[in-house]
Amino acid sequence: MDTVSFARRSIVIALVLALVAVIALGKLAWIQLFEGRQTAEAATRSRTVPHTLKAQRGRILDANGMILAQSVERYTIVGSPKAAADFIPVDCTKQTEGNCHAIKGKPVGVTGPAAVARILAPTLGMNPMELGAKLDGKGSYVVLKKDVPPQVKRTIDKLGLAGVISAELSNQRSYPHGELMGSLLGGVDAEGKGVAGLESMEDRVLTGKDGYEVYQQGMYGQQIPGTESRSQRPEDGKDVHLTIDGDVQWYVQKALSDGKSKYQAGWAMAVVQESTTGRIIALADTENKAAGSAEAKMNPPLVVSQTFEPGSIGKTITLSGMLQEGTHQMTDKFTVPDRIKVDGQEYHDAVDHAAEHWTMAGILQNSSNVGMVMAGEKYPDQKRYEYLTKFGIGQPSGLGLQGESKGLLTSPNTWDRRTRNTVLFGQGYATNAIQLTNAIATIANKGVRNQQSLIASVSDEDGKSERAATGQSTRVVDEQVAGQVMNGMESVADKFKNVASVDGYRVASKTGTAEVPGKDGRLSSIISDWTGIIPADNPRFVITVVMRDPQGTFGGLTAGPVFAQIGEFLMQKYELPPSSPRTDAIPVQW
Amino acid sequence: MTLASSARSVRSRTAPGKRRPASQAEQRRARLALVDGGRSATNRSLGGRARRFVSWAGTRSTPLIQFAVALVFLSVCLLGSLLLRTQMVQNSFEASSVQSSISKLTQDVQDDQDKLDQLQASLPDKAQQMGMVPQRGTSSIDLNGYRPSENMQPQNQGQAPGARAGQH
Repeated sequence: MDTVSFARRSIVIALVLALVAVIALGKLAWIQLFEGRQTAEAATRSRTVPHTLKAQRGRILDANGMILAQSVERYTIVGSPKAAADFIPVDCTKQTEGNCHAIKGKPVGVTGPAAVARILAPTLGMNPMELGAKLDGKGSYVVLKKDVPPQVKRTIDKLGLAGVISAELSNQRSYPHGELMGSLLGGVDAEGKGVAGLESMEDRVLTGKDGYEVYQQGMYGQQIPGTESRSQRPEDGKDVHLTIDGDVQWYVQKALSDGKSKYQAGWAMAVVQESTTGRIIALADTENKAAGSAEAKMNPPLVVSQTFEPGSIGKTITLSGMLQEGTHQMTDKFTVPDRIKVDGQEYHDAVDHAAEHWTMAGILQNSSNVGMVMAGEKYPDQKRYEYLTKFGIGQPSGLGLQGESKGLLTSPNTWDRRTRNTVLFGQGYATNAIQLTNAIATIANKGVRNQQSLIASVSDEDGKSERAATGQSTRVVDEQVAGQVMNGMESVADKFKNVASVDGYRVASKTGTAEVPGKDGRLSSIISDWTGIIPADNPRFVITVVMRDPQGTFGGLTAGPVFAQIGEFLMQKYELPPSSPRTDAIPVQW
Repeated sequence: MTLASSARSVRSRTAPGKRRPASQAEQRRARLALVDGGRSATNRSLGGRARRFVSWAGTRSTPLIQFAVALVFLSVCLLGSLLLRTQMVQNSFEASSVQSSISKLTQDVQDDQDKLDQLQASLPDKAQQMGMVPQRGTSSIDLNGYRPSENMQPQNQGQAPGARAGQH
């Protein structure tokens, strides 16, 4: 009976097992025959992930092709605290050689995040305690260090920490020249988007178009070769070539720093512009902020943000207007005292003098405020405003730089009895250094005002170059008028030849000095400026130098020598032929 | 070449059996003309030979050969496919490895270029620290109205014509 019973039980169990086996086989057959394709597809789908191929941001280069800003590939090192908690280092033996963990040949000694930190810290150049604290958590994603160079990342790859430590490709913006044009270049944010300066202004051009790649990845995210199904190449951003000459920029920055120290000025700034084309060759100041730094992103360059009354430099604009309108000729004769009262307002010259017999050229040479007020008697307010506007005062420069101030020029109907006359000698309105430079460049360019430019061309990764669009040129005064004003400005330069001349080259210039509000809110601060055209016989460059509170007060004695230093460098650098002697000077006295 | 020639000989053996009635000589000649065409340059080409091989394999007298040929063909295809697939995967790995090397080298070039740019940028400051100063002052020679002295002329005569022409 027992045998029969055992046999029955065995048969029952065998049947049950057979049934289970049949069900399992049936299920297997079902999966293989009917669901196999879907399962395989689902597995492939889970392995197939689209990966973004980051486009590289374009470079910024100077006129000589010198790289001012470029992007380099860097890595963000990421840790998984969850995986780090389970990490047990493998001691180095003969069997585990090449796949083990050791610190300077000795066993790690600990496990978990502490072990990972000890292994990784020397390579990352971080404190193991700090690193261990970051890895001691519950999440699976913690950024350990950003902007790690590729060489360091490759060393990390060999540490045997796969699964615990990973690296994400990123881009870092590098500015090899540091403080050269720092504020002008600006910077980018953490996502690589331009947020200040030229980086922001040209962001659309510099930014490329990301691509993608769809492939199956392994356990650690590595690509399984031959599984790439779709891909789109990234389009790198375009390179922006500036009109700025890095050599000139460096020299101007140096000359300004030297000048600032020598005259103990608050700050100094300068603009160098090619008079015939409107191209800006240098834009410098003494603030020296490193490109890409928070300071550079927060503070636009002084040349565009700082506005000031141009002082006597404004007389060139008044003179141009009066000559163009036929109000006066350069040879008109005046007897000029050192002070004059008009409409109850008294105006005086910078220095006391007896009544002088000056022509219009003489009034400009001696920078006489009184003479300008006398000459402006028949020069209507509307014309005064019209010519200031035509020369670009109170108008946007069109460069598009972030933080640029267009200055201040109110309409003539708001001018009081004093302002209507102070505008004749550069007071009562404000301008920035770029606007002022272009106003003088208009005179140097035979009366035609060019649109200033900072961008020379844009080129793509294939080297295809596209010239930047140049703005419209406008005639402001006749060529003959511009020539006469130039002549008068040469007489000004002659007067300062002992302090601001360039050997072998004729210079046409104008100085300026203006009182501006100081830190106490009163007119306790001084702006000294100088703008000059060199060579005067065949104008090529216009240089403007502006200083705040220099010791020496008058622009001719402080900004003038800095102008001469820059002018001399430009003549050497661009190998310009020396000027022929001056033979056509308009008399300044009668 | 061997396969083609044997194909022709088999065809020549099978042809006489169908040509026995002497009264149909003209028709048979017409068929022979088709075979003549097979001897032309076109039929000696690979396509022509393949067509003839397929028609030979399709004859009822050679079923075993047909089977063997099909088997060999399938085996070759299978092996070829396996080989090609293996080679593709191998190439894919190589391509992936080369691509990775290119990326590494590009990164290294970028990094070195950046270092070079930084070093170049620091040159003027370093030169100044060494006591070097930018050149100051200009010196120029005005050759307007210059005439070479008499005793210089014999020396000038020895110069190349182009050099003298350049002075004018």
